[in-house]
Amino acid sequence: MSEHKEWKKAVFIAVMIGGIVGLFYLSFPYMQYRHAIYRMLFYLPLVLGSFWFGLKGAIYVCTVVLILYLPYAIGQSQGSALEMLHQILEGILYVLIAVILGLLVEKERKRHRDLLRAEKLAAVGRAVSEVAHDMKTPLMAIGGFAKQVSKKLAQDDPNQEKLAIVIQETARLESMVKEMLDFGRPLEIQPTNTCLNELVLNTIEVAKPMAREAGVVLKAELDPSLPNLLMDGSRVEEALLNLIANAVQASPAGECVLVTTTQDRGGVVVKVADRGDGIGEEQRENVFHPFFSTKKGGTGLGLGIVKKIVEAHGGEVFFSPNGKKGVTFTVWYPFREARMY
Amino acid sequence: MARILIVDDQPHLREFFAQELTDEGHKVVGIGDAESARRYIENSKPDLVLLDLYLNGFEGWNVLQDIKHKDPQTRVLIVTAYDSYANDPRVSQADGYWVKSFVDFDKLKRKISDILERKPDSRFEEIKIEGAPLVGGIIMHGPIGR
Repeated sequence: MSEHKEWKKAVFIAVMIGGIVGLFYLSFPYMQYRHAIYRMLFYLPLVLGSFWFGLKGAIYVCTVVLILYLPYAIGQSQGSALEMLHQILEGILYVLIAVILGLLVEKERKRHRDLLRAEKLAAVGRAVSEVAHDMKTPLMAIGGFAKQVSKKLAQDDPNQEKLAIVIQETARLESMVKEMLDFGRPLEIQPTNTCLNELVLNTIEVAKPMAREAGVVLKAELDPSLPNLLMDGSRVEEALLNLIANAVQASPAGECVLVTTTQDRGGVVVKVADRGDGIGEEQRENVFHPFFSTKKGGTGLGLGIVKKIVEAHGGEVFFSPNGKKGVTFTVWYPFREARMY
Repeated sequence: MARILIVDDQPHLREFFAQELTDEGHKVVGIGDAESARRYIENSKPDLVLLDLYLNGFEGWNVLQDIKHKDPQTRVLIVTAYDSYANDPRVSQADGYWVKSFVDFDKLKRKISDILERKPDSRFEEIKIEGAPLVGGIIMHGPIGR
């Protein structure tokens, strides 16, 4: 909705409220039956306010109506207790309807947004998948032939260095394509009895060479009382490796990436904390969006895949600033009925 | 040494596979279309078929079915860019499944060795190409360029 249109709608509602209040002040006090109808008219701006602006609109309309109408209602009150009670109950009902309408509209809007997002993601996923498949074959030819040529050249040939770059970059592109395909396909979870602490240690082992190259130290603080969980170990490891890789890439040399496991809210929590520059205010909203990346050469799909894997396990993933330096990504997996000991 | 047929519609990939596998000491034949592949398999009974699924659409599935229908002993290793079909029930007809990746090419070589080791010795025989000549196929015996 454009800002201009929103203003028009807000003005329309304001004029409507003003008109209805005006009817009260301009009519004779003894016209009780007309006042009853006028009071019903107040529901019109309320419905429009909720429909156009959600809960916020409903609350605004409700507040404005009460502020404008109450002085008139008090001034016209005959002092009868029954009449007062009637007015109060009607006011409470009005507020209740405003809140319920607003909440319902908000809920419906969220559902609509989620649906659109899911449709958009599915379309993006399909497109990505097609492109990625088409890229696989030429990449294999480029990398494969480069390897073959490299094998045939003498080890000290000056072209070996160039070929090594071709091979290395093709391998990087191939892994990006794999990431794109992972993102594009529906996720199938094959849960098995998994020891999360063991999985964390294995993943750290896998990430160690990458961390060493970046001069970053990987540390783990694991809760030994963690129960085994029914989860897809390889997928969970993939998600964790993504988070650790991001943390390593974000951290300057000499810093440390800390992976912790704990239990909380009826589930297990895995945290990956880095000591990098953090995530800027304007980037936070987009962190889990596909193709959003601040890294040079990144697909921007890594965190989208993490989210997909975590949500497929009924879990949640979010991030928060890590004190003054860096970010902590928190993944929560529920125990659910699948919990095993 | 085994006789391996590569069925892939991408000539560059056929050439790449052929080079790698001839370096390993195999006799390699490359064919780019389903029909020629069917004819060649029927006539020459290769020890192993590396079959791409994407041949003029997904004709590879039909080729796999035909091969196994005519001779269940023919070894077929699916070689495809699509890892999403790894759990497809039709894959159970094949002797293996490998997702194209130059980084993981050694895995393919291991798979080929494993499949060939499982193969009964009686299946090793001379190449005999009978019937109509191959269409769109390349034949390479020994390392390319020699």
